[in-house]
Amino acid sequence: METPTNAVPPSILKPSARSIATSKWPNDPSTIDKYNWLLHVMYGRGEYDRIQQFIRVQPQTNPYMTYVQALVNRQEGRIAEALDLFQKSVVENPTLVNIKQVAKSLALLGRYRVAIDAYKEALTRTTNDWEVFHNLGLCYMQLREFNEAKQYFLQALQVSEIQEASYIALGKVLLLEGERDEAEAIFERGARRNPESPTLFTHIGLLAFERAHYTKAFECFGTALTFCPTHIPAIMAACQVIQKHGDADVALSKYRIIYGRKPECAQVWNNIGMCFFSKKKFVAAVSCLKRANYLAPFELYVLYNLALVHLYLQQNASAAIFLQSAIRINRKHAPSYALLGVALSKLNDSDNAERAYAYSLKLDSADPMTLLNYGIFQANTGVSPAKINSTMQQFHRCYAERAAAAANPRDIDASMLDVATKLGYPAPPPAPPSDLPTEKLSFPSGLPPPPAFPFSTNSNRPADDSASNVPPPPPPSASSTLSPSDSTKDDDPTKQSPPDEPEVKTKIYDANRHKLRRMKQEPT
Amino acid sequence: MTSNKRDKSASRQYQEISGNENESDQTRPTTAAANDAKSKWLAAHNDFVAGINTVGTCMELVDLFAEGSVNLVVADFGNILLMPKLQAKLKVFKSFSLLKENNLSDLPCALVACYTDNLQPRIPALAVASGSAVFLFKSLRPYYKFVLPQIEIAQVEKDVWHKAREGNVDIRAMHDVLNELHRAGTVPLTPRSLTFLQMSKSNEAYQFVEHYKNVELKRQSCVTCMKKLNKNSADEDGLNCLVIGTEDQHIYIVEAEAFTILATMTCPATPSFLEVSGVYDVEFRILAACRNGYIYLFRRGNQTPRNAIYLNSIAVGLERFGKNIIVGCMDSSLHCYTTKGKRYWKHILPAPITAMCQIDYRPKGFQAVAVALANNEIHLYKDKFLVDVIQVEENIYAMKFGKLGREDATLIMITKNGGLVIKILKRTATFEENDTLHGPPKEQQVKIDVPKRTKLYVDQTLREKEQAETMYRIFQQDLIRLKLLTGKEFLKSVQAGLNPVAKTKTEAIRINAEVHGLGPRFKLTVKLQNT
Repeated sequence: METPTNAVPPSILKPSARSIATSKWPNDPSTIDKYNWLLHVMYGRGEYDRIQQFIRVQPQTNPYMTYVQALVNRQEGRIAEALDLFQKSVVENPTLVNIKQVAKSLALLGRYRVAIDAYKEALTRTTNDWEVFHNLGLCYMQLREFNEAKQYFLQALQVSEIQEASYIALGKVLLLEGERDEAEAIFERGARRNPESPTLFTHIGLLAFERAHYTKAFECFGTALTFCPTHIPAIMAACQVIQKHGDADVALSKYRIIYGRKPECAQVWNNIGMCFFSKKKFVAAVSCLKRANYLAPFELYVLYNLALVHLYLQQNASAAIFLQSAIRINRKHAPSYALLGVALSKLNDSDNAERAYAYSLKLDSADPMTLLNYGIFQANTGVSPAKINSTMQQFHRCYAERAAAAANPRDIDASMLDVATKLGYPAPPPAPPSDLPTEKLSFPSGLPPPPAFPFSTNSNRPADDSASNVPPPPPPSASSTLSPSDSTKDDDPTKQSPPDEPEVKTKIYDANRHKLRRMKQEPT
Repeated sequence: MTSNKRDKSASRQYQEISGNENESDQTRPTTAAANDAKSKWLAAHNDFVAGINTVGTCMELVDLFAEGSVNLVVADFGNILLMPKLQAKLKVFKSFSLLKENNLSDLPCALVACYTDNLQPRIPALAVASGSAVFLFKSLRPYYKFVLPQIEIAQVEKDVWHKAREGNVDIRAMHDVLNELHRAGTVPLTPRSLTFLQMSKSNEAYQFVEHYKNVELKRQSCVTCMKKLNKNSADEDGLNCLVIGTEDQHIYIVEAEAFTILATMTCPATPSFLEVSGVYDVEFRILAACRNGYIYLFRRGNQTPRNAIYLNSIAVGLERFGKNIIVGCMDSSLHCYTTKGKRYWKHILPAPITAMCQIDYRPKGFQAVAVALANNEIHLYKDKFLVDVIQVEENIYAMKFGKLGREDATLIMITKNGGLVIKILKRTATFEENDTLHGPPKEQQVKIDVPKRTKLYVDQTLREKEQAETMYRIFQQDLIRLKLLTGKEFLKSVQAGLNPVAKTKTEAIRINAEVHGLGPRFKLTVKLQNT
């Protein structure tokens, strides 16, 4: 039996089949571009979903729709899809705009070589496009071909003199090559053209800070913060200076801004901890530092600061363990060994303490703080007076050098001399005492000295900056206590790392750190 | 019915998005909170279901009937997602209520109220640009349609289609000829030929040619933006010209009385926003923000731009105050340039810009630019200073400031979901010329949440103070023992030739574990394979 439907011709079942096929196209195809303006407006205000929906309901597509769809894909992170669409656009219409977009997508995908080829293709169509030159520079920077990068950034700046991004990128390339003077000149030039750029001023300030021009650095950070009171790198850097001046409360109030915006930044927690430390709120300091350590377990200075605080709290075992971790991260960090010497001598492990001091001095023989602590240690363990004498002489020599080099009296701690005097080795040119204090020295141990100065590593520099100087921890005690009656302001030029350093640098630093992890053990 | 549903789901989606934005905003820099009592604006009208969907260029405040009361005219898109079906309407509001509406034939892209004659009383006409035409409405009735001039078509292309009309349709040959023409790139092809070239199936292409071969071949541009320019006097009700920016990168100046093209200018890219000042017969300037991220400046008598300003992003709004250009960009930055192209200042705003409008309140001599942001705030900048922040309930997609009804200073806002919000500037309001964001940022008041230490910790601390030496020794011993153990195990595994791939003899399953990263966050990949 035949089903009746078979008899019915398809055209009756689908009477509109034919007309649909033709009405696919509008009557007047000359105006397929008529909604481009709307797509552009919607793209401008970020209505990405609506654009996709709108394009879907259009009866036909035009090249601009493909282009906008590609842009939307890229904005939403689907870069590979965006690249496909842009490439389609280039095949249809190889204009400068399309080629630039292909190149940009390739660069975002990390295919810098291909991106460079695409940008060079774009350069055959234009000679004065800032974006092309700047992005070429960035690609070369990523490939670590700094000469090409510099050349293209300079060309970009020739095309457009006001581009902050090019100044910053060029300065960073120069810094990566170690050309600090040239980098500074570029930043200054950029700052003249962009007098309100917080980033440029922060960079200038950081360079000044490295050269210990603290006043200039602080002015630069101040300028940056005037124009953008929430610019995190500038706040970090400015607070570093503020903390250096011992104004922990001001620094703390500024750190709140960063805390509010980046609550998981280990560097901030470290610095907050050290602010509490200088306010003698030790428990809070430990809490904050431990959080910093939790967030960044491989951060040398967090461990170092933790050890320091624990030494003050007389938790010597914890201090020693944190120092061992610090040394494991950087086995060339002299201050850690020096502090370990203090901790171990307090734990009655004088053999290893001796070795730690010796190793620390081998790494950095010019640190007066280490020498002083070593001298005290030697005095307490009853070493021969001649040895103590030579240590203390070296201490006075180094101290005098530091004092001469320090522009600001704050930069060096004069109380070290008092301690030396009490030890029986007064300062000026050695009048070696005829006999050694055989009896143990004992100083009033009041409140533990205020202190130490927050460190936070700067990813630009190796962590074992030999210029860094450690606040003296309470020196060792065998049966007696000998603590410096007060303590120091630290003169560490290490400065805060702005948390958002460019990726390249972080990578370098990381690589470095990983290398350092394979280290030998500390003497125990 | 279906349309309603789609509407709702769409709006819900938007709400979700905006909700998320709100959350993330809490960590953003802060904006002075607008306290209701202290606010300088009165909420005059809130209608979140007005169903108006438009852009800032499609709103006009004008005394449409010469009766001393200003009407709001909006060219409404309707729901653009119901595309083949158009709901575009021209809506006229008297004070806050809808007075009249007219259907439009296509989505409007700009609306301008202009004076086309010298008759008294001064009754303006409405020019609505859509597609490739400008429709002129007088007394809300269609009056005239001005179509953009046709663009030249290559002779070869004409011949190709002419042949097709005569009957010998050879898809392959047509494709080859047109493709060659397209590659040569001297004269752009018509959209029809471009669509034809995109077709991959010859069957489809054949249908296409059959469908179009009898239609006249045209290449016509579309309007992308439109503004008005006074013709011969600077009076507010003087005769106007229309300045029209088109998709094919031209700017036309069209006289509104007889619709003759007075001047044509060539723009290096498609303009998306125009800003016009001056008088046509004397001296005028046109600023065109283009899709390629440039602003071009045109002056009287020049076909090509005099100056170009490069923006790092595309413009989402363009306003001019005297010699200053204020432009909002897609990367949430607001810039101020001189007409010479020098940058005065640049602000990074806390959220992307969704709309901009000029505020010119003559009675108080107050001039500012209002910038609506995606975080539901409207920032008012006077020169470079942020003088006020208005909080609104939804994202604002279109804004217009001016007289409405008999009120001198009203700010009319259209929200993302079609709401109409009107606020009136209080007469007592004064704007101080310093930054309301001055002073420490809001976060500075937030207390730092220092992690608490437990009693156990304190006890342990005390114990450590007493027995540090023992504790340290035991710790060291244990640590060394652990290391020894690890070393032994490792040695054992090396000697036994074990690798990280574990295999059982009986079951055909392999397990392979890999650790990526060193912690505290790391990735553990466990591969379980049935061999």
